[in-house]
Amino acid sequence: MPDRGKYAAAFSLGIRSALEYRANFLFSILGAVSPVVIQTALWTCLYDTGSGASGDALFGYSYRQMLGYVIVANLVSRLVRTGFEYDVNSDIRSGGLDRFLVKPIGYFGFRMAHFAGSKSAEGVFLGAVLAAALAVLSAFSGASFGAAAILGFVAALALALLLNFLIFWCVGLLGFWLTEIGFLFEAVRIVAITASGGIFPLTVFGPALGPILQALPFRYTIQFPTEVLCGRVAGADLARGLGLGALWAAALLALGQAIWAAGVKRFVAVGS
Amino acid sequence: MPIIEVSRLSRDFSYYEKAEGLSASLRNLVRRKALVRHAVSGVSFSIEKGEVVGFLGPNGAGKTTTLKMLSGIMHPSSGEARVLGFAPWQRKKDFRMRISIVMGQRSQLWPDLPALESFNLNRAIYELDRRDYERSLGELVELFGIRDLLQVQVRRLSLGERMKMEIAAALLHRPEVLFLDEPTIGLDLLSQRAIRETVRSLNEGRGTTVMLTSHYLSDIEELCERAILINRGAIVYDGELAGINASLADRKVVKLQFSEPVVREKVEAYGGLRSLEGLEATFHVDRSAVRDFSRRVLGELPVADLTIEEVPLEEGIARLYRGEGGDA
Repeated sequence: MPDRGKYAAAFSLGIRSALEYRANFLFSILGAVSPVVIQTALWTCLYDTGSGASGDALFGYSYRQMLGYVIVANLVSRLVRTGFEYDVNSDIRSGGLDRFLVKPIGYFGFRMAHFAGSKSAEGVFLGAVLAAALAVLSAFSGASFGAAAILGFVAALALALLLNFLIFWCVGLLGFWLTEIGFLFEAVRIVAITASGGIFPLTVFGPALGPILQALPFRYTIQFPTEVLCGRVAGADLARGLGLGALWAAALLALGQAIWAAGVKRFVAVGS
Repeated sequence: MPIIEVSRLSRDFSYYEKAEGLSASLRNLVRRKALVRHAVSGVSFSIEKGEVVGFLGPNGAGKTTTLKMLSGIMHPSSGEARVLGFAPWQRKKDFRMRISIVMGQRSQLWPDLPALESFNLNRAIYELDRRDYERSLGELVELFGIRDLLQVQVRRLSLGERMKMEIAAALLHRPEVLFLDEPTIGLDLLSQRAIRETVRSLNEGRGTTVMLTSHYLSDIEELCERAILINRGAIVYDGELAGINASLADRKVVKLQFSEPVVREKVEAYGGLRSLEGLEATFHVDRSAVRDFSRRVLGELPVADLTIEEVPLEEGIARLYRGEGGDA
């Protein structure tokens, strides 16, 4: 199947691009340390002063569960983080998209395969960091991470990657209409990380905002895989979450295709 | 049957007028005046298989816009074009498999990876089997002398080296039609020559049809028998390169180098003076009068050196751009 070969080549190009930028990636992992330290200090303080006993739960999480959540969520947010939207935007603005339009390859498929390739390279490394973090967590807090949770996590993580790719694919394509878009990417990223539970669990947002955030697709990109790994979501809940996430993916895919079709029509009509 | 057929192809761009100053900016927020620029208007020509055609024109004449329409990157405002029997902007897969475009100012390679990686990706994209790919790559590597550079990160290559890689990448799948937009821009003479030789041997060896734009007339003179001149979106000449100067063929350029300064009036008296700078004077003289003219100036002026040349191609092209001549 020749088409499969194209996307396999794009996947492998993604791996090699990720390896070219390995220093950049290493720094982004190191960058994960400081928010974890800050949050640990913050939650330690809140749990102490909130009730006087760190055994009590806040927002439905015990102190140890909260630390586990914060650390895992931080690593998951690094792993699902995109960056290709900047490439999409620069392809649109500087005419790099031309090279895809004249070649027999689909741009969406290329970007997705490239993203998957670069994530698989990062994933190997981040998986090791995550395993070390889990070992430390279970040694200090007695938390345990079962095989079922890990398997569920892998599935949830794959879904999270797909969803995050689709969200930022849609955002990146706005470059067809907007010229200065870097600020938008940053704004969307901050909102998305917050709304996906990448900073704290969504229960922190209280009964008014929490349920809304639970209904949006963002939570499937960080909170959902994190809670699966921490054992808070399992069995039927896990299956339901995966199903809902997949529905969101289908919706975003359709949205992305519609934006792409309109954007290319405009691109070819307006010129770059 | 022509391999490229273009009929009354037009392309307009709309843009907004903006006067300077803050108040104009504020007015623009509310109401902008839309203007239309006719980048290409009603262009028609056809190109036969195996031709190498030079596409010439000043900046903004519509060269790149035309090539973009013919390669399917841009939709025309009106008119028709067929390349290999396809409407390019429908971007059918069959069409994309058989053409290539290289734009001198836009890279198709991945800057952070060695060119070989981009070549490999192209192998997959164009569904080449390994043997064909190896053979095509071998030929191109030989032709360009780039064997030692294949493993070097593209952004570490010089401009000339990179351009060779760009063209090699565009040729791996043996396109039947190749669009080259300023392939030699910014290159030194040696690299320019290497690019020209490649295009020539490609055309001779593979029978590739080439449409080439360039600012450097030497590119066109060496490669093309036929030239299409475009100015302000319209074709002003389409024919043999040699025909461009047809209306100037009855003239010669005579250049004099004086041994001492001569007053302008005295030089002007001979007629046909084009320029006088320091000790150098240039004349346009009727072909039939050159002998007589030479004899007179040699006898009457302090001439240290005298040369007689053909009128340069630039002159004929400039006349065509200005709308003079061009009876082809």
